[in-house]
Amino acid sequence: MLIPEPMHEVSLFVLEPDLETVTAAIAHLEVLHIEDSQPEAWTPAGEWTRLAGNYHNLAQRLESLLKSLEIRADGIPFRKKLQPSYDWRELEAQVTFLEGRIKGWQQHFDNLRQEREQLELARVQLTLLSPLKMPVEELRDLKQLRLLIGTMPAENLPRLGEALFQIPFVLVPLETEKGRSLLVAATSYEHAAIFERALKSGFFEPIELPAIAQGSPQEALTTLEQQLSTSRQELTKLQNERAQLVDELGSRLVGLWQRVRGNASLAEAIRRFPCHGEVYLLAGWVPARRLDELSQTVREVADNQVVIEVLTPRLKRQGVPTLLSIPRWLRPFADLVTIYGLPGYQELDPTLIAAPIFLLMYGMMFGDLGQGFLLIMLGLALRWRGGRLGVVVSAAGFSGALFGLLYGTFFGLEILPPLWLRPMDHIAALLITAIVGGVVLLNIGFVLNLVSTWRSSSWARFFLDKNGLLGLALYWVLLGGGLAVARGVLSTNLWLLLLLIPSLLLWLREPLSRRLWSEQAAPLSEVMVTGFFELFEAIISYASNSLSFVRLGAFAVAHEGLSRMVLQYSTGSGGWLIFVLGTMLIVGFEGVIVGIQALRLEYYEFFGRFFRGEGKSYVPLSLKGGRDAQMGVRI
Amino acid sequence: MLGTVAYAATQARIRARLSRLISAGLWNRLVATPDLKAFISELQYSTYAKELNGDPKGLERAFSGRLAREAHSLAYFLQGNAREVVVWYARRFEVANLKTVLRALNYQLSKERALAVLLPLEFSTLPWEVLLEASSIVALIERLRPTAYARPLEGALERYQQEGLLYYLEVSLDLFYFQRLVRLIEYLTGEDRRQAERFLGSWLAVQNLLWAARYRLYARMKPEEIVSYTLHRAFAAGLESVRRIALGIPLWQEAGRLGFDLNPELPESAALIELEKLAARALYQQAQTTFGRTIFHLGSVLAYLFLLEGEVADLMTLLEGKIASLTPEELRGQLLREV
Repeated sequence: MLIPEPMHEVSLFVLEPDLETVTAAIAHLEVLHIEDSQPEAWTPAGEWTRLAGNYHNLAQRLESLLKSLEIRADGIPFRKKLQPSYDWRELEAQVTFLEGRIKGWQQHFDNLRQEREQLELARVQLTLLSPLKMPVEELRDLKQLRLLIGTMPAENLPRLGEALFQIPFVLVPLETEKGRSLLVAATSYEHAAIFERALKSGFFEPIELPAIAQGSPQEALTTLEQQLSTSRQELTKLQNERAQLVDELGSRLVGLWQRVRGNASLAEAIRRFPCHGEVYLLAGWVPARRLDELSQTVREVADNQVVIEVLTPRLKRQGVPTLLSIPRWLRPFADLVTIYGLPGYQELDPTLIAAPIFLLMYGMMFGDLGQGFLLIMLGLALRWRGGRLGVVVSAAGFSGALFGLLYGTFFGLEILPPLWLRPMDHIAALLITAIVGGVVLLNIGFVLNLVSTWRSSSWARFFLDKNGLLGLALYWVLLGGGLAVARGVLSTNLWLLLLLIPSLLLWLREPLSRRLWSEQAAPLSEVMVTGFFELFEAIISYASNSLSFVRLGAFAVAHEGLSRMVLQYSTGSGGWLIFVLGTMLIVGFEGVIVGIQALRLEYYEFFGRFFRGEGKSYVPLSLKGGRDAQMGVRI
Repeated sequence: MLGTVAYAATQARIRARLSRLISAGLWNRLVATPDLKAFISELQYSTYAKELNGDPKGLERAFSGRLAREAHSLAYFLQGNAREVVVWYARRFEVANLKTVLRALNYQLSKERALAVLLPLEFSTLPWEVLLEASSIVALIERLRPTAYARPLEGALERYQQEGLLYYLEVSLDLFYFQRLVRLIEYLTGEDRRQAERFLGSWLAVQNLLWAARYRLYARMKPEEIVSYTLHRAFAAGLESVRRIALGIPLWQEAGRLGFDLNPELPESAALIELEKLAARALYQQAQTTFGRTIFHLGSVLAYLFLLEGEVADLMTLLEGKIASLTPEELRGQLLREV
């Protein structure tokens, strides 16, 4: 639970005739994380690259059919036998047949939709021109005025005005949809060339005045409305036809899509396997507990005509994917860690520790029995709607309620005897407790870093890192020594002397690492300067990290103060409304802020000591496909 | 207060990193090396050693990747709008990669060939391989849909499809990027704003002027087109400067307004190169003087980034010079750093 699942590096040497069956069996098992490898003289097979491309196109053709019939295909993988090279011809023929059945309707439907869009656009244009009495056909052939109607990216509109600085012009923006503005633009004919160049460079796309419109704009509008009505009837007819097509072909299309997608996943995987003559190499990572299952299955389907090589990676090995082994009850809290980063294979998985620490910090800052209870309800409601976050919110509420008992507060009312203390009455004690808690947490962080670096035999980091043994010693000389000096137990000079030893060692960390463990280091002159600044930074950060936890107490006091304020204003008529709104504000707004503060402390002060979170996710080969699902960047 | 604390940490970090820049002694030795082999071997003594594993042609990529990494990692310690500015500044490398992807798809280059020239950007979450597998530019834009890059590309898509010129997509992407950078700088306040204008603002102004002049000289664009394809707000060289250039004012005259003394006798093409060099040198020197005193504002971050960028630019000049067998004397005049 505290470490990612142990992995084995597996190389399967498979003969060509068994390649597809073995790959399909592995994909069904969903156990092998494929690793791209290319030993010398082994090359990927070109025909599989072509076949993968073919399947990709076939899947796109099918998706287009499904989309046009508005069918949602589910993500259930195809469970029957798949054989990409053999299935290809049959699947291609089936898709072509279905295209033949659907394309005619689709063409008709698309044409009608396009026609309707043009009619709708023409209606907008003619409505604009409706005050004019002159016939539309004359507007098309204006002699003195260059008039254009069209669309352009909305953000380019103000720029267009600036670009037309040499000529007179009129720009009338009408509406903006999907980031493009519809506008009417006009200038005199003599300036038409400049005008059109500027429009073009602003990515303006002209829309021709509707050819169907004749006579005055009002007359043309009447004709247009009739055409729109006919088009609506036609559309209804086509929609009925679509329903018939869905009844007739829907399940066949979905089945076909699942099969094509499964074959596409297999072809895509095989494309990555290098081959040498008739032997293919399937290399990747498998969780240790599932190694036997994989070996047995592969041997069975290949009739023992397979060579399996298994290696156990050293912890220092880079690129090993991470599979976290988190019990079901703890899974909702895994997000607290993965938001920061996925643990590397050699790292500890801090979920088990991070969850209670987060809850403890949250409860301390948000201690109130009644408000905690509300949070529990809110969390349960979120959970009921399917959100994993609901569990975390409920647990945070529970922790808040427990601290409410310790503080003796119920919706800000001091009606319960405090089991520990009242924050507003014992501010100093609370702040000191918060800092002491922080010191304990930082020490846990140091210890976790020591365990982590010990496991991966990173001795330089274990002994000499600012978060290693040396860092821990410096931290305690600073803190414990400082306290001892303050109490008069230790003389200042002795303290400074004690401080000097770990400081010097930390300063000389890089040259020492180079000497003791042959680690790479920059030239000595550079190391001396950077080492000094890093030492300076480490000392500052020890102090600031510890003091940072004071916010736990400060927020607890602020929370109680805020609750008291709400109570104070909740007297008299309408007081209940102020109480309800105030409580909602506290639970909603302060609840979120406290959550952010708890996360911030956990991430920056605690995780920063031992956790890098630069792991690579374990993604086994499966028939579910969907590499595009990895896209998720939003700027 | 919080901002000052954040800058204190950043400052300490930058001070440490400054020491990793190439020292004067090593710099002199690098310039004096007789050939490429000696240059590479001398560079092993710098912090660039780990980037020397591949062949020299890949060095530019590696160095640019380092620049992006540094900018992004420094941004991590900043807060609020200052952080946004530095993060966005680092994203210009992502924009450069996107342009590479666009070119690869437009000219149907193989995925492997395109991947080999993409800058290594650890911070970028864009899946470059997946993007390169797009069947067309339209499909690429579809794949970029969750990002902010889709919209500017989509805006220019129809014009690209009509004329088949990649230029429209690239200019749309550039305008989007630089307009946003200007906006982010304008959101800053106080000393951060002043420093951002001092570094990024000066850089943007010169870039804008250079674009306008290049459009006029090389693409023979008309004034209205030049105005359309440049920035209207670019600090010392905004719309008015662009209009003057578009209407034909000599470059030396407009550059004079920005404080650059160009020889009026120079042909326009040579003036362009000269202005670029003078501006880069001025920014480098400005960055050098910034570290003379204690600073708790964005200036320290930007100054460090411009120093690093200048160093990388100089290294590339040296690298190309060594490949072309130029003498140290010939190279010295081309460098930003005084040797």
